[in-house]
Amino acid sequence: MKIVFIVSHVLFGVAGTICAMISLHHLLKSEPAKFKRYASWEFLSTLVAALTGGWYYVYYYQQDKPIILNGAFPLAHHLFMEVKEHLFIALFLISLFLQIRIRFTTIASDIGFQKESKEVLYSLIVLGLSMSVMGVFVSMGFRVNQ
Amino acid sequence: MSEEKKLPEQSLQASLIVCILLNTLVTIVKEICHPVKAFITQIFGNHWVGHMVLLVLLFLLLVILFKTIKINPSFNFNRALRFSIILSVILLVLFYCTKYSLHTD
Repeated sequence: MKIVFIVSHVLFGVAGTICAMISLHHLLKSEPAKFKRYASWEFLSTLVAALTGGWYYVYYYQQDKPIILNGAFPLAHHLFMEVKEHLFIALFLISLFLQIRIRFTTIASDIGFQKESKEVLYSLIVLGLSMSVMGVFVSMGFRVNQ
Repeated sequence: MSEEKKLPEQSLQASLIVCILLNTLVTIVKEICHPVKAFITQIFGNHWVGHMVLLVLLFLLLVILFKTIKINPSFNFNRALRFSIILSVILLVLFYCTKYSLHTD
């Protein structure tokens, strides 16, 4: 079962970043309906990535952690995993913010809202890519001992 | 993209910035002060789950709270968001590098 959660976490995490990129593309092309649709997919993907990643972290990572810590690359946990798991919370909050902003607030000024959404989507893309890179390092810390 | 007004956007923006910075602060406090980590673990079963749930609840709570507070109109959300993310990354990396180097010494 462990592999299902890891693979789902990676796939949905990457899908979330790709949806953020597509959403940004439609925002820049002034297509609000498509921008909103892909922003919603981004949030859903991030939510599933959080649930599957959280499940793996709580129920399986505690068994994998000693292998990383006693292995050749303990920094994989001490730096990459620690920063990843806590920075992910910021990513999730930004994603949640965009959803609430789109659905429950005034979008009075088109230019102001577009600038803000652009900044939010850039942040989501940069953080999403950082998560992927840190995930690779964590995986490397585990695999190097196999 | 005009829509009916439901929530003030500034309270939402301010709440996000505060929560991103608080996320970093809570992370560092949790690592330094072990009783805090143990308390969160005791309530939620896992410190990361508790951290995430608390931050999301706080974010929603602050949105409501900030509705009653007048926020400075010169507040630049885009700049604040960039600043809070960069600061969080720097602080988290520095903190965990320091912790690791002290741990291995």
